[in-house]
Amino acid sequence: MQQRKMVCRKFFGGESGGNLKTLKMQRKFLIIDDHDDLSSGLKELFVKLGYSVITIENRDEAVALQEIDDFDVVITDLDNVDRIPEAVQNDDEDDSCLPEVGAHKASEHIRAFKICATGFDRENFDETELKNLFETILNYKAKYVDEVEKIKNLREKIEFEFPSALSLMHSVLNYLTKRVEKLGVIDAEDSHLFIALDEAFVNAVKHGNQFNPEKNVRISVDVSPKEASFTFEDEGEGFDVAKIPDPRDPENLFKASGRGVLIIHNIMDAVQYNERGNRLTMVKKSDKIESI
Amino acid sequence: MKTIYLSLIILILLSFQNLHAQTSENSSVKMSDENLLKKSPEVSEELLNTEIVLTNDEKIKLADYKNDIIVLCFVTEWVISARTITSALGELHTENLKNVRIIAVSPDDTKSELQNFKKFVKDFKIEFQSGWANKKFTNEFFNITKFRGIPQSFVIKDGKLRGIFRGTSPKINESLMNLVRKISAEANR
Repeated sequence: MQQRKMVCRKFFGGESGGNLKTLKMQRKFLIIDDHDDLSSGLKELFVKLGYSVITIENRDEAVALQEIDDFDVVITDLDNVDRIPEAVQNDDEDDSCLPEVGAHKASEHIRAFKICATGFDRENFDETELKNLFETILNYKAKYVDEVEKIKNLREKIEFEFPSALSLMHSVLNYLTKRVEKLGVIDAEDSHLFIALDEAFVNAVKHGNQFNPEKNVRISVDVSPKEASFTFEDEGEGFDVAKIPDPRDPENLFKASGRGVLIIHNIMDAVQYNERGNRLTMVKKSDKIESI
Repeated sequence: MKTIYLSLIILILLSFQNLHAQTSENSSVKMSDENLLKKSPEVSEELLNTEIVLTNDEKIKLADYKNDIIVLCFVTEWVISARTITSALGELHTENLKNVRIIAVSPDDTKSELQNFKKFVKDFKIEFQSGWANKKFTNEFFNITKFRGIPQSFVIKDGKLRGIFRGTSPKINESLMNLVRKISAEANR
């Protein structure tokens, strides 16, 4: 309990929630958690801060829920794919705030963690509040839920959907790099993974969505013992990657454009853009396969 | 000023592995360096009194904050990894640690580069102080580390260097943030 109070103090500037206690409107959160190690702690924190929090822990309740779009933030933390509702397993547009797990082997143990803030109020968009929320959730999960472990038959799906906000970058990317390291898949430091993720994040918010908070960014990470796959998608018009100038050409040495894409290609083992150019998928192979 | 760092950019672009090898062979690139701190513990009066022009045109000197813990970070908008450290410093800034002053300084000096830096500060919603100083200021700090690359961060307290961080990575950023938290806690005990 004392530790949770410290988290509250750290991220909201006071034990009782600091400036977030004076929220003009009450935000609604939904937490879907099948093992209760995230939901009870976060609920306690957020209720104390004046938020309305609903928690769901079983399949039937999640499937039956109709008004998922009414929530400002939906947090899902499911430990076992067999207990993930069918609606969640399918790519169903109506349940876009729920994790998408996709096809998997019966022998695989699949975890799914997602923060979806696409329902976050845009009329009075408060980026600082959103940033504090993400920091709180991710720090809580990293500190009290996530464990250091080697994944053998485990796949972990991590997703974030949120309004374009650069200030979320540190907490989101910090969580992701630490998580793949905790799972024993990639050494985030030596692999320079953080630079590729930084570039992809900034490109999605800055070049893709033009900093427009009405548009969302989607980050999807699939971690398996063999590799980690990162997908960044924005709602911009996209671009033709073939038209980016080659920064190695002496004529382009002083142009900033194109450097990031080249660096991503150097760091990652596989890089692919969709045809429109608004979705980037990058794969980093595990450097620790032998030790698993 | 860009030409000074051109070799670093080319290294990053053409041979990322080489850059990694270069930085790895000197472990001081990754963490605050005790030996460097022993060699150059004092920041000269000249540096402390050099004018830094902030993006809002306000003028400051490090000496203005002699009782504070200063985190001086050299960043620029055209270095991708500079964004990583800026983002971490942004988080440190929101912690509102008592007597901690974060100052980002661009080593650029042309008008267009400084306009780009201003835009970078605006786009990234950098709320801590940021600006630029003269070439000598940058060069003197880079001479301490013998490393002409960006980003570089210096933690200064009472006119003395308490931490030097060359480059950026999640671990470097965490070390920097933890050092500042520790010094702040000690100072406010």
